[in-house]
Amino acid sequence: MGPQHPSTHGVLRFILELDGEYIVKCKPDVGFLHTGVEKQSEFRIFHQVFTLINRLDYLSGPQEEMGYALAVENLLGVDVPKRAQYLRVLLCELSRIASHLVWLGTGALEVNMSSIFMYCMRDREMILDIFEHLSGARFFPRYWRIGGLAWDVNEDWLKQVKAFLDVFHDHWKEFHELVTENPIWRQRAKGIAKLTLEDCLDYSLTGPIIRGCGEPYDLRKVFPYSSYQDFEFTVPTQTAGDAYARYLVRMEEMNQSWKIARQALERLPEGLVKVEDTKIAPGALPRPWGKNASVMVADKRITSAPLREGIKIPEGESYHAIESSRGELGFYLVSDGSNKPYRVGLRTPSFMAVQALPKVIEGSLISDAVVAIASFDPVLGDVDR
Amino acid sequence: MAQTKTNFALDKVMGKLSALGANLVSAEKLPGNQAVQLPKEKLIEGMNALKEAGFTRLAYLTAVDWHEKRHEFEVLYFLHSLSAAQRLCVKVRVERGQPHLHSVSHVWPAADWYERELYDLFGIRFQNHPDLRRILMPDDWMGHPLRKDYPLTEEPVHFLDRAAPRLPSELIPKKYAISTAQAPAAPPAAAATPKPTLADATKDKPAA
Repeated sequence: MGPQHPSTHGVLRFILELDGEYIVKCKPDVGFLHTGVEKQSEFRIFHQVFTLINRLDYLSGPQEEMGYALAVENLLGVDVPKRAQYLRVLLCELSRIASHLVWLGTGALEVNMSSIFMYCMRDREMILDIFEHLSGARFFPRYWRIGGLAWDVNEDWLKQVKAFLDVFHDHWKEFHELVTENPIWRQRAKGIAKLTLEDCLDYSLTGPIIRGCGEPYDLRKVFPYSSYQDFEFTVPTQTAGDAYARYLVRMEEMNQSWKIARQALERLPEGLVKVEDTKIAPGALPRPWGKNASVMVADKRITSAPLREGIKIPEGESYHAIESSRGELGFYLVSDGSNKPYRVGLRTPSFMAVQALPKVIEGSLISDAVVAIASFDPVLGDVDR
Repeated sequence: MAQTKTNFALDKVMGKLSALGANLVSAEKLPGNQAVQLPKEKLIEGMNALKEAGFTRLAYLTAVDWHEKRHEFEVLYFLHSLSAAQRLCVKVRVERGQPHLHSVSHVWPAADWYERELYDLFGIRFQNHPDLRRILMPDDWMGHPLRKDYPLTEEPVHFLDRAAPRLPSELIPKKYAISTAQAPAAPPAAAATPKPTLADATKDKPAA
């Protein structure tokens, strides 16, 4: 199966041994999308690495930027201003909703429910428009900077976010009505791809997969970062450990993300969006807001600023993990005191998810394997790096 | 960011680890604020003891090539204890000549692919590994890309017609290229392109 198969969500290849319709043995084959991000990062200055790493998990670019920025700031020992932290949280939660919407739409498409896909893409498009308005780019806003954010937001943009959050909750209820009690969906997802908590620990599965097995492990709660402790939200769990449980967890997560985003928007503090130290975050250039504003403009300004030479990060090593849409996303950084990282290690959640897939696929029907893959929600850029 | 709690899960097992020759090293920016340096020969005993003490999840396994400084690899095991909400980093040093290490994939099955990745990208051989093959690079690849003595190179793309796109190093104006001692070859002098000015960038843009 694969690497070009509609249900593998990317270039994932499975070598399957079959007995009729049943899968006897399964061996995943990965690496088709390997671009050597870890090696390339060692030859770029710290700021340029943002462009590489947000292409890993291409469905949730802002979260990748968040993790990397926090790892560098950890090494620098700086705390970004509250306003920047809240805006970061807001964008991360919007991107989590966008990522889960793609998962819901394509996952439902696997079992031939095609109308929900259109509704999901409609809402995701609204989020991508928000990103585009902010930075000029839809998937990879590249809005994070070391020590804060690129520029402050304006009233128009905040209104756009509010308009989206106002309608999204009703849309989310519609998704529930369309899918949750749907007999086909229940039949296809219940009892499929069952995992226990021990399996999750053995295979280092995190995110919605471990929460679908009853463990409320969420880095936003356990090891809070970027002011997540200021927000009220719950960590949804299910105990069944099957594809349907993971579906319920992700659905409720969208609701919680919506709650966090609303709180971040309402309580958004005044102040700077960058640290004051101009050596860390130079060039307080205003963002050219407007219809023609593109990311090209912004990046030309950045390359012509003193940022070109980069900043020197003190010698040391740091590891920072964030809760991405797929689980624990960790960045291990080593700096030798120069303006380029000595080593960038990427702990990506999908890599572990694909490793554990044979465990649930072996012994199942081919048509259930498709649901199993969809319920693990791997992104192949995240696997192959 | 930095966690200040005492690492109870580690305290329980530290006596056992010291008997194996492990010692604590400071690592402020790593999870748990401390790292355990474990001798390579006692890896399996140490890891079993840590797993019994509650570090049931191997969160991440990676390595750093300290090529010039110490001529060795440092392999890092990031462990996580769910019950105690503690994280810990275990460091093991491996000499660079014939790097080999015991596999921990029977302690934590998650290590299977991580070790394959380290074998692929660093060339560290893991003994008793069930299936030590390349994972990300093609099977017939020569060399181990994440080693520091492996250069970052670029290849021209060949097309059947005579189109010959330029290499990235030829496209990037010299003033934007970042000088690096690690780069394999100095980029050839590129055609001078006019420097984009702030005025150009904002010429047609309406004011905020």
